[in-house]
Amino acid sequence: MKDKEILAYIRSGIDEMPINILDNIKSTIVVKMIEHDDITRQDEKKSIKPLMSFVSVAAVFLLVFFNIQEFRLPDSHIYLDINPSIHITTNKRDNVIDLVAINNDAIGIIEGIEYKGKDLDIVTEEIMNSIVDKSYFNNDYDVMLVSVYNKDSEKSKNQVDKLNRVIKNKLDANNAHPIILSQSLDKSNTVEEFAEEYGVSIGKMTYIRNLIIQNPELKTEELVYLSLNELIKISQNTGIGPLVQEKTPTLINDEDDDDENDYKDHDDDDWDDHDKKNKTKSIKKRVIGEARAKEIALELANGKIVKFEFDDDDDDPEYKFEIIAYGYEYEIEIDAFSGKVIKFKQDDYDEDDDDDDDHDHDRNDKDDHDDHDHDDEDGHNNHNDHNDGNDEDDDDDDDDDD
Amino acid sequence: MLLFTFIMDDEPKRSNTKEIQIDENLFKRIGNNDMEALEELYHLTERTLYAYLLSIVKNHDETLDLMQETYIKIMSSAHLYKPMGKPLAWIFTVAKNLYLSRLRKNKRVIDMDSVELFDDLRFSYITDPDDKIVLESAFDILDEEERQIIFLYAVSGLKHREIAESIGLKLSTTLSKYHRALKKLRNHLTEGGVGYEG
Repeated sequence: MKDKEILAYIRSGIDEMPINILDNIKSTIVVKMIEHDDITRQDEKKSIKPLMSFVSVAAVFLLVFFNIQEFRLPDSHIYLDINPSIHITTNKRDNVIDLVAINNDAIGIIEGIEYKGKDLDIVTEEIMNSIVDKSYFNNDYDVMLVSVYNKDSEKSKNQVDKLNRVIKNKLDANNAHPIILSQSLDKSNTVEEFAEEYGVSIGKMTYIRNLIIQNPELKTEELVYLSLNELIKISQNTGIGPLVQEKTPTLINDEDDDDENDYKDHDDDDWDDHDKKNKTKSIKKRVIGEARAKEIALELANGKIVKFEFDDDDDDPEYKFEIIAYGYEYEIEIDAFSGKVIKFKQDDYDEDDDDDDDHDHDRNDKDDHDDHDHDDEDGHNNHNDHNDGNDEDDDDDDDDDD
Repeated sequence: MLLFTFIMDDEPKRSNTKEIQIDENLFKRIGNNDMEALEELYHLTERTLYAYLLSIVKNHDETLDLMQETYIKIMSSAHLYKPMGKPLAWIFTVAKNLYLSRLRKNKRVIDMDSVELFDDLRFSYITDPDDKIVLESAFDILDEEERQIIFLYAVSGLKHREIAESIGLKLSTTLSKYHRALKKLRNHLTEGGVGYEG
């Protein structure tokens, strides 16, 4: 008997065995595990041990030594993302127990910072010094994402608060005015997994997840490679209103009162204000020129310009761009006088551009005389949006858990 | 002679076997409760996992039980899966750990080798007598690892290297066990007591 014949018999023998378990499996209600157990662990060869008794002994152990461990156990996780991403771990007393560079850019920043056992505020200040020194905040539209995770959501909010103050003081002292986004994280395993897989911080990953919740067409794999700035530009296009802060559900702007006006000023001048326009001011000015317009457009979507047009309307001259970048097609319109971005639209690549949007846009222009009056209202709405956003978020997590 | 022609018909089976390629993204999708992804994984791995477990458990019904447990365990932990390039190895690990924990729970390690090997119940599903003889021989004379390797090679379409990776053995070990196992079977089936050739 030949080898092949033997194998063929075995195969057909096994193939004859009736297996009909798929329906059973599919109808089973599965509880998602929080972390790998000894059955599913992926580490190299690990046999299972009778763990139950050990775990309960360990639990008692932990209780007894809780007070001592309080100094060493991680309590809060803080993520600072600019482009460099930094992960700070603190214990219950807000002393820093670990400081990690998540990407290469961050290595230079935390190099030489003595952190062990120091107060979080002090370490944060040192990090901010280092960041400012390395001129990450040269432009007013630079963005920094501050994310805090603590099991106690009250505490993480307080910490966001505290950090914002420290950071803001430091930045003011250095005359830097980046936009600061703050979020307190709800730690979900999926986000953590993804963050680890792609080598980004949990803070940034959460931000990405929130973007995706609002715009399911976006893909994690594409977003993780974008810088924070690029992400925020995309977020501008995904949601309800023009302000970044409105569109990210878990963002908590604890310092709205102090900072919002600052943000607004920058926003108006720069890139955030894509469907508002200040006519009276612009008429007196000269056009910014094709080169500058291109520069602005490419800052928003760094890709290939496939269409460029100068719309020489007497009142509202505009530069119009179509750019292919990150696998999307972007339509960008820039006010020829002010250089303001008045339209920023992201579409799936291939899709034809539609004229409807242009009409919409024109309508917006006409309605937008009273920007500033509305800002306050927007501000209030912000808060509502946050709450809604958080609810949505929670629901989402529940789904995950089911 | 009749037998021979029958065999010739059967021979191309292995070459027809589609090699299973598990896209590790499937786990991510299963982690997101994507039932299509689960079905895809199930259909890709059904016979291979069966062959693997059967070679260890040696009992059809218990194998099915464990398969079911394995897929359910995968559903509950797929979101935790870290892509490491060895998806099948993970599935096997989960399956084997479930088997081991079951043994421990039952607190009685049944020495299957001492159980009547020609237990008709176990293979009553197989109608083809030749298939049955060969399979029974595999349980009779091969050790567990040899049987795993032979079963997986026959059923899964995996290459030796991939089998070695999936069950955590060296390629050289896998190959030598494979050849030894086939030789054992060959001798057993041609010269040995079964003597169905006549």
